[in-house]
Amino acid sequence: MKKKYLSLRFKKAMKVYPTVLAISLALLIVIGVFTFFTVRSLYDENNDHRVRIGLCGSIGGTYLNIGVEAIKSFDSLNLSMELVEMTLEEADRSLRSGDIYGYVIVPEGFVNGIVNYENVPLHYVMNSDNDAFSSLVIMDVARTVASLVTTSQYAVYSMESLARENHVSYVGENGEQLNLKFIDLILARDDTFSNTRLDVEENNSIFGYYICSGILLALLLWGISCSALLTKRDPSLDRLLASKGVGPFSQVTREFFVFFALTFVTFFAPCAILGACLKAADLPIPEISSGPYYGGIMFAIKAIPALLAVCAIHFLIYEVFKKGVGVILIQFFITVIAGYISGCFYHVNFFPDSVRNIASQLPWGRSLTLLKASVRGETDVLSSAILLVFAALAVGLSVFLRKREVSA
Amino acid sequence: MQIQVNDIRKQYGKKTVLDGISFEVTDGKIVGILGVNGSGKSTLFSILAGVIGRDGGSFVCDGIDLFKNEAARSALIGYVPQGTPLIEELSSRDNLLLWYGKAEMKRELDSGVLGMLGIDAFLDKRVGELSGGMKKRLSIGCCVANKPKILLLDEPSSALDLVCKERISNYLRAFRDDGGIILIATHDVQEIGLCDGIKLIKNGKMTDVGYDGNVHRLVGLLG
Repeated sequence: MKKKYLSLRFKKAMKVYPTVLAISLALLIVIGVFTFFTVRSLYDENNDHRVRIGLCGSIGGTYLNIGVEAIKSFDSLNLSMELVEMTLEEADRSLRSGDIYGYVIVPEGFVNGIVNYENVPLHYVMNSDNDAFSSLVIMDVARTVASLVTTSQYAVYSMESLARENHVSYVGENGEQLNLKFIDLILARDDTFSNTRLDVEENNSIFGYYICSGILLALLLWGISCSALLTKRDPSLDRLLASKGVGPFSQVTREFFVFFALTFVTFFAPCAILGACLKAADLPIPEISSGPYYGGIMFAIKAIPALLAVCAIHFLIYEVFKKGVGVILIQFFITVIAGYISGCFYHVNFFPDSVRNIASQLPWGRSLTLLKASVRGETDVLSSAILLVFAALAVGLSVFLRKREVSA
Repeated sequence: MQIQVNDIRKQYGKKTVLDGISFEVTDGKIVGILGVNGSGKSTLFSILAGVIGRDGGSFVCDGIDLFKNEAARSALIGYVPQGTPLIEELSSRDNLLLWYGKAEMKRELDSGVLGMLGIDAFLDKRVGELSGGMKKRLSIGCCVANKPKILLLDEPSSALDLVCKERISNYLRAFRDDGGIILIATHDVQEIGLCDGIKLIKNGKMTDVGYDGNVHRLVGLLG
């Protein structure tokens, strides 16, 4: 009877598989498009979308204007910002309407302060409603503005000193151009900044990280896709099976086995194919380009504990909430929350330490850790063991709930 | 054949659901178990079918303790729970194959219980597409696969049309005439009419109330 039940569950899985796959593909396409544009905007070196920064305050001085012009002329630095001169009121209005990401207020006496080697700091204003990513970018951009303006002022001042020392009191209309050329020289333009992108993860490239977080997100969404397989309409079959010796433990373990098998097969094939294709394409993903062609297969095998844990939690959710739209909504909310705090949408480094620490100990965060290790070709024994414990707990809880339901 | 149910007791927390239920039934009898919703009829059937545990009592058939002998219980008892114990995504045939061997199913469809219940008419239809009556007939067909001697039916005819009820009634009569024992928990007047005896569960206790065709008297006893 237990064997027959297992084969019947497989039969059911095969029947609903096209539906499950169709829902999964639809969800993945949406996520894929989102990821594509996110990654593209991160990596597009020729991205001409510039962050607009307001510049207001005491910018009337000749020297400062030249400094600003100097910054604007630094196209070769590929600065992703555009400085827009405006009044304080305009800046405030533009920030609130979202036209600019932030503005820099140049205080009175800023230029004199530079000349006299006094530190008169610039003041940055940004919108606190901006997401973590933008805020971090703006902070860096504002610092860069301050640095460049300050440095350029020194340069302009030096140019004037040089002219004075050579008894040149008037350099004509070409004075500003001369200043700019001099600034070009002393700032050394292309050599001033190297446009290096530091990987945010110690051992994974940014691409490797997003591949793993994408896979985790797909696994989380898989819980919604599998509603046709896991939703239960009537508990009377459980009771009938129990009366014939197929108790809650046998039922749950067999149902979970089928669910996991379906998940693994669905996960394994794309991993194997994608791994080989990415390797063949020789993309700048060190984890893949340095690995073998069968790296995707190895990855899928090493990721099994993560699959088990995530599947077991999906199974448990369906065991708790049973059926209807409610369980799908719950799945959706859990997917969004788990995906968010695990770093599927924004990198975990954007979160406070406390959130990161908690998230990394949850099954989903731990799954991401294992996936990241697996994509590097490493075996994370600790994460694997923890995830297996999570999986066992979730399945055990499901058995307990099934027993309670059968007894109700 | 005779079954003896002795002193079955069951509590949920502090609430006593069954308080020393005892009765005997001999072969060739249909016994109706009546009681208001929540009186403990389904709990009693679940205990007798071995689905849930009890706090005390025994269930003996011809000297065999069915609570202790799981194999004998599984072989002797056919339990039809409330609802439809079926997998909706699969066909009727697939569902039957969980309980029957291929040859056995064919035999039962040709000249056995499955044929009597008219299941062959929707054998290859997906369960999700079946009517309530068809599902109930299929459920009964699944539950009696092991040719049981004792049938426990938990409200089998609820919300079914008259034709379907009549088909099920015919099957129950045939089962009784073959020497089987049927315990049926019901609120249905037509099913009560099939019964050779009526027992009432009220406040966890069971009483034998008989049946003389007067439904109003039963309603009065239930209240």
